[in-house]
Amino acid sequence: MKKLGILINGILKENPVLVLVLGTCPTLAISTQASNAIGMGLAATVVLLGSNIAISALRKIIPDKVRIPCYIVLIAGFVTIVQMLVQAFAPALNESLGIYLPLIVVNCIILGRAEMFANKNTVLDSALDGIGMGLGFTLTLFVMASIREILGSGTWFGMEIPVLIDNNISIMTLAPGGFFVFGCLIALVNKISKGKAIKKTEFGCEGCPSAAACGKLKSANCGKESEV
Amino acid sequence: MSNVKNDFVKPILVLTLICLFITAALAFTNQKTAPIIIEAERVKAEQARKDVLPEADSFTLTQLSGLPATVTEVYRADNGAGYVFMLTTKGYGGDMKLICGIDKDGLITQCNTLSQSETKGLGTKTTLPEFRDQFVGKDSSLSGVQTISGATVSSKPYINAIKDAFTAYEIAKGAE
Amino acid sequence: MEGLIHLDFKGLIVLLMSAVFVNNYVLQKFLGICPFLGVSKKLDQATGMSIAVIFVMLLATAVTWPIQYYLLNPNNLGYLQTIVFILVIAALVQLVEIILKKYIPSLHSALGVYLPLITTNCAVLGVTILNISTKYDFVSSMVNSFGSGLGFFLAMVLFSGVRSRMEGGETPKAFEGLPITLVAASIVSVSFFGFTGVIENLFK
Repeated sequence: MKKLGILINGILKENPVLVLVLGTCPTLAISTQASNAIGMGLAATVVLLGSNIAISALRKIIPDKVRIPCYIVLIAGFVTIVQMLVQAFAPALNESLGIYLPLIVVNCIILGRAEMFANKNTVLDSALDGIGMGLGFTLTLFVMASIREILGSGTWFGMEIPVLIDNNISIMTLAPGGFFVFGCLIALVNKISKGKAIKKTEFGCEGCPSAAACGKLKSANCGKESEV
Repeated sequence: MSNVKNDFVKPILVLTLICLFITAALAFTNQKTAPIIIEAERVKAEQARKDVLPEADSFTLTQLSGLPATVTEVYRADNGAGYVFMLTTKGYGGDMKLICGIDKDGLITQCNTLSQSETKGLGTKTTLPEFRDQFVGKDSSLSGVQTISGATVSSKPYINAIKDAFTAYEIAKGAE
Repeated sequence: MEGLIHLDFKGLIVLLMSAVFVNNYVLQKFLGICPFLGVSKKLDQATGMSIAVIFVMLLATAVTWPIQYYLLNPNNLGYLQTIVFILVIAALVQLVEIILKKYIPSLHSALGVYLPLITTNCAVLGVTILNISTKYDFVSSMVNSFGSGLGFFLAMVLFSGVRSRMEGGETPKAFEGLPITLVAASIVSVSFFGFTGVIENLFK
């Protein structure tokens, strides 16, 4: 039962995008088409699963001092492997994801989970956490992309929707629409949970991979994370 | 002594080993996927050329001098059906990459957009059949080809690039 | 180097201006959103962070460009790009921090706190990878990085102004905090559309 909890945790209670507010860049950039969102989400999930397993398996071997460089190397390795596989077997997806595919490396969700979960838990738990978080990321991307694609292009997965196709609001697929829909989604989560789900109404460094270095940042935005 | 070992040797050793292992894994994956990627790109490029010049069987890249700046590559159909021109021009939002096929009689067979970053709903109309089909069968005068109202900054360079393709076509014919 | 984009002086200015206004990293390309939302609350912090980003972007490009063209490409190791670049950037940031701390403590106290955050700033890795994938030559790459950094600076400073005005306003309960910030970012982003098409035609 506890295992199931870990899996579901990432999808709902600690949804990486809407509750932890991690990985905002790809969320905003890729969510113009539902199919891209699924592709991006799955690529990140594979990387997250791989890196979580590897890091938790090596958690007793990696010295504390060099843990961040080690994590970065491991994550970059997985990202590059995923990138090559996508290039080889789904070139169209590679084209639409573009620069955001290699940028999974600096996606805070992945390094964040390594710091917060994988280096403290067993391989199985970490794997479940990776899948849960990855699915949470994918699901949110998918919801956001669906809203933007349906309103902005009048299509869904490329299928034309009658009436909407002729009355599309193109700005939804452009940058401002991304910010707007994302803001509204977070507000919705706020509303539904009556403010309980959002751990931080302000954008902080919770789960931010640089939190360790952030101890010094008391003066700036990361005061909360000072116990490092 | 054990302090030195724990503080310096172990971190360096672990990091180096991880780097080596990851690099080996990447090299292995690269070795497996690289041929597939190259093949997929070749097939895709070949298909794009076939799309605009269906009568051709296969293509050869020809080296020509004095081409207009917009014309990046010229391919000759091996069976003499015509030429395919790769064009890069500046649109409204950045580079537009176009491909245009011209047959042996000097008439456009088809043109297509390979990549663009125009404004959605306006400049992107240049990719639609309504716009690009008006080039089909035209000669170098391009008579009757209209720009898109509301998207002239995207459609004008498009038309100019096609005109450059004809300049390149003459050069290619002359070099035969 | 063959096949690289080489720009003349006018071309470089257009590149710089479009990197700042049209292809703004934060508002149009969605790179570096985390610091944009996190550190844009006060003007002095926004400025400090942006200057650190410009500095690291320039330095990272100056180091990664030669690595790609003189080390990785000749040895057919292009696929190591991501892993090498992120390590180089992480090491560079550490190095800069140590040097600043030792030799220019005043600058370190001003910028030092922002430096560690930059390692995982996707704008820095993004600009180095984009410079390679768009095939800019060295000078164009540096100009592009500088422009991207300036664009980041502009967005941060503008947005910190918007946010300081927002503090006084009343927002619906559910929109308080991050959501209203994002909606404001959306409006700032709309304003940047005004520049599209202007820059390139300005120098014709």
